[in-house]
Amino acid sequence: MELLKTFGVDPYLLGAQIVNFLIIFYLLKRFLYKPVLGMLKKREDKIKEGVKQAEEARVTLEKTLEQEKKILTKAQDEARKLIESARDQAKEVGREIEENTKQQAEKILLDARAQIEQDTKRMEEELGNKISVLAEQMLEKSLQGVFGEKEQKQILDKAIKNIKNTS
Amino acid sequence: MTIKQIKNLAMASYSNNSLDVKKINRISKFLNRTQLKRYIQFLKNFEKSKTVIVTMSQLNVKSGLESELKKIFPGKKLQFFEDKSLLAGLKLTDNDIIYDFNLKNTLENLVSYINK
Repeated sequence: MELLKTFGVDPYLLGAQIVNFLIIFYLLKRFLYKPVLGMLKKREDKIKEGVKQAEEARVTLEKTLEQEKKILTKAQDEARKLIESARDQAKEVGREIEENTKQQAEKILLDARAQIEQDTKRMEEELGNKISVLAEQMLEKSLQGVFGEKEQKQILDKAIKNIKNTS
Repeated sequence: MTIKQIKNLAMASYSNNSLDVKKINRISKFLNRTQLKRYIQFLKNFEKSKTVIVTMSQLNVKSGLESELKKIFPGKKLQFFEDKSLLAGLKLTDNDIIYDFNLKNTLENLVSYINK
């Protein structure tokens, strides 16, 4: 006690201060530290949740990017295949069209040749007929008056004989 | 009056194998328009069946021919016509039978044979 008094410390005051401190400590703990710590805990949990979600989002994004890449690659492959197939089909169609056109052209040519032959034959026949008719007309014109009375009588006698035979 | 009766009238209109004008005038007075038409038609047919039409290229050579034809077609009248386009020979029309013995017909037959 003597020593405490030497250093200027009043034991009663010290006791009162300790009591005060304990009271204040209790009050702070009861009304200030607990809610603040609760808030901090909530905040920490929220941040942890955010970080976790961000991580999950990042993983999802990576997966999505990977999937997108795969889909793009697949789509490019399919597009390439489609283009190749279309190109092959176009070549095939072109070949068929060329073949058809060739066949049609040959048919038209054959038809035209047949038509020309037919026309030529018909023209020849018509020409032959016309020539025959002309020859007949020429003979008729040139023979008119050629036969004298004697020849006429001979022809008539022959005709009478024929009529007797037929009637 | 029946068609047969009109036909008999047409046959009765002939005397000595030729048409009798007096008989025709007498008959035609008793016929109406339709009967008269039929009567004329029968007369035409009789005339046609009794006539032979002879078409020749020249009529000046018919003298000997006429007697020959009368032998071939006894009791029929002969009518002569000239057609220079026949060239030579003749063409006989006996009712619906035609005898073509002329150069024109021969030439036509020849042309049709060549064209075949």
